[in-house]
Amino acid sequence: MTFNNAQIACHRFGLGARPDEIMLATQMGGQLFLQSQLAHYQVQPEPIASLPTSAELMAEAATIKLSLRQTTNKNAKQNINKTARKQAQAVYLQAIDIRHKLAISSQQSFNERLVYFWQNHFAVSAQKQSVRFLAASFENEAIRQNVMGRFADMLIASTQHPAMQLYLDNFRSIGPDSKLGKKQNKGLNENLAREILELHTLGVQGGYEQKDVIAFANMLTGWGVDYQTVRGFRFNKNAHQGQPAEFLGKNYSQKGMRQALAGLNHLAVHASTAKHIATKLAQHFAGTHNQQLTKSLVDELETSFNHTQGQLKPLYEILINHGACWQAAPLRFRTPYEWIIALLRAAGNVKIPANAMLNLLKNMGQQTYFVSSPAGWPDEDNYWNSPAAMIQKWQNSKRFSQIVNKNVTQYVQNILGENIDQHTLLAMQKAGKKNTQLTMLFLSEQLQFR
Amino acid sequence: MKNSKTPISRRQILKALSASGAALVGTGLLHSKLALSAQLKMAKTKSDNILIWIILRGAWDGLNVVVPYGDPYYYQHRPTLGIEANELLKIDGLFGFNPALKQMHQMYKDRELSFAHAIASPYRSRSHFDGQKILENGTQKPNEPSGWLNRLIGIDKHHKAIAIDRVLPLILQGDAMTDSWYPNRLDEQQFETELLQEMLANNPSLSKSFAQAIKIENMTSQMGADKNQAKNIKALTKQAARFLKSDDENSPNIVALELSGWDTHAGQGTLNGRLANNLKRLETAIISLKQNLGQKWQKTVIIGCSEFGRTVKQNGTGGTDHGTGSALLLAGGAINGGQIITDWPSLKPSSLFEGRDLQPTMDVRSVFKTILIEHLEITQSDAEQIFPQSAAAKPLDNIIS
Repeated sequence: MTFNNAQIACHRFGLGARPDEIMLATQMGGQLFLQSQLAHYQVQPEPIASLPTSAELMAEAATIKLSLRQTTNKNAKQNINKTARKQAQAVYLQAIDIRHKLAISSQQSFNERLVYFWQNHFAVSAQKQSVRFLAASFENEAIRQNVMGRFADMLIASTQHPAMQLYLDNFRSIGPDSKLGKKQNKGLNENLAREILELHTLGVQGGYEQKDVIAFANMLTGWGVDYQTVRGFRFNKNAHQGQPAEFLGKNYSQKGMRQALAGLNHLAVHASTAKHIATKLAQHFAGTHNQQLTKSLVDELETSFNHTQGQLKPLYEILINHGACWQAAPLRFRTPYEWIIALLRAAGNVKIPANAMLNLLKNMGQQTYFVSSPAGWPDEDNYWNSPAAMIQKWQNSKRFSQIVNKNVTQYVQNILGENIDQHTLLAMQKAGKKNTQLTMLFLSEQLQFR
Repeated sequence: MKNSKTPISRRQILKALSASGAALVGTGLLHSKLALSAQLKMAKTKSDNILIWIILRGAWDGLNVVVPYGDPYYYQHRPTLGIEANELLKIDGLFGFNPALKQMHQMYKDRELSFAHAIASPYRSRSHFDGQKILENGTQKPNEPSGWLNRLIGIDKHHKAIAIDRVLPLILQGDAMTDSWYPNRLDEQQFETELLQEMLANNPSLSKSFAQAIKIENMTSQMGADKNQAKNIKALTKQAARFLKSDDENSPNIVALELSGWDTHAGQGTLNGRLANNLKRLETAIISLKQNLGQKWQKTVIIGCSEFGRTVKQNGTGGTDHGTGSALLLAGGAINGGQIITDWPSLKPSSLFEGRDLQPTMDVRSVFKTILIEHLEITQSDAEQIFPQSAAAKPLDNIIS
């Protein structure tokens, strides 16, 4: 089974073909089709712009915290907490509904894929109750603002975002020698410092030691959340360790918040970060089907990252122009989210109730923003390509065929254009009923891989 | 995945789809039925001995599971996170169980549960993800793509394994056939099954997944699995026991389960809190496995372990950070229980690994190899092949009965 140029542009780079996209990509050529999406990147696409900002959400949370402080009655407190949890859940549900709708309707789905890539790189999980109401605004602010910009800006925005501060516990971390540390006998929490080094920047083999984790954790003390400022972030100097630190062989004697900022700026352009990011991007698009080609892609991405001090757009241009990403063989197995979205995109303006969508994703083990760890969803075929996943897809195919059930021929044309694999076509011929035909199509190699 | 493509016009698709007919369907069914019965004849006999692997993802705090309250430094390192001696379920002058483990403590007294302590994999850094990979692939390198249970099955065909999981964990990934199963509400649709079998035959990974999926579906419906099973530990362990007790020749004797949530950087707690809650879940799983396995419990070994331990000192936020040495759980009727297997290294600051972690004095592979050799009847040389470059981690005496 092989993909043609337009299919690769729509499915491997994008989130799946919308009606007419295969035709458009064929006419323009895959590369140009993708370039033009990059050129039309919108920071806040229409439905996203209507969602509440972190500042608004934090202000609401501040009101709740205030009323909790003013209440002494235990029952009343419980009621406030219950209402707050309900509100957070409602905010979460509204945001993922809009995210899914955008995924299904976007005409720049390559850009959406890039947003997802970075969101997963800087993963925050709504599994943690205190983070749930901010999970979407993290993506819409820290990530979307910076996808076409500099890696350093995204790193800083992510680190300062209240969702990240809350998720990886840094808001609790207190310099042992700070005012607060001495008074309350409290101390460091290494979590955020370690994950920045391991996951966000240098990578686990990136050449740091335990003492660097501690030094960086000390530098990051005082960084925390504030429910009343515009960004929800604040620097609390009373919690800041405030001592010169030796971090990755360099001295950091900056005062206050500038110390960790200098550290982040250094990490953002570090050679190990370049390698880490280049490797992850290459894996996301090219996988390991042809190791030599992937390696050449990694090298090119890494060189560009180093030369431009972490400019991100040139990396996407390399992806668009490198042969590793245009191999005709299927290179990557779709995650459940990618598979669901691709099926729905091809159906045109399909309506799927928010709850149904949520349950589908839950059943298939990839509920939006519910990543199971700070490393994000594994970007590995073996993780997702399992017998249990096959059964789940099969089960859900019946639902999808009911949603999509219009004109099967038109649907095939929308999603694949003229190039449908012979085995799939044969199975569809034998299937007879429309629903069974669609089940065959949904479970075909051509739709399970990209 | 090297098949050629032939461009097909829209007109051809239209024609092909509308021309679907009974004759074609008939030949397809006949063909795959023959193939199916041929497969069934190849079934092999399976081993009687059961292994249940429970990976405790997130790095559990071994020091507060089996607490070295007799170590003079324990309470110094943990002024508020240390568990009071009078709360512990004491074993001897050095160790006591976490008070959440009442039933497991009784199992210890009944000699069907042990712990190894101050134990670790060969991994010496502190990334969850690399640590789990090394624990599951049984090597020293995180990027080795096959799991050690998969290699075991590749070497000895008497063993079959299944993961109770939505995805296939690394420990079962590799060349040998393994299954994974998770509750769902799929109706039996023999027709679709056969069409899909045929369609996917061309792609090795998809056809393998599909064949396994079907086999497992058949097994669960024969055994009357509750199809609306929720993801709760009792239901999952009950189903695991059903798989293990099945007389079906294709049923597994090895099950891989997971329990996550052990990454207690904050809110770890002592008598209550995240660790105590998780320990209760683990205890529920062990008790449920024992009850549901019935007679087979006597032939069972359960391993419960984490990628590494946590810091000896408590951190500034009521928790502990990533560490090294930890505790490893063994349970089942087939073990020589009632032991704390350890060469205790002391919590003296100068004895700690890198000045902060419990110094490992034992390699998890020593335990795994012993179980392979004494319980699963693998030769020592095969065990060394399953765990390459692990000769220094020698099998142990007396841990299996």
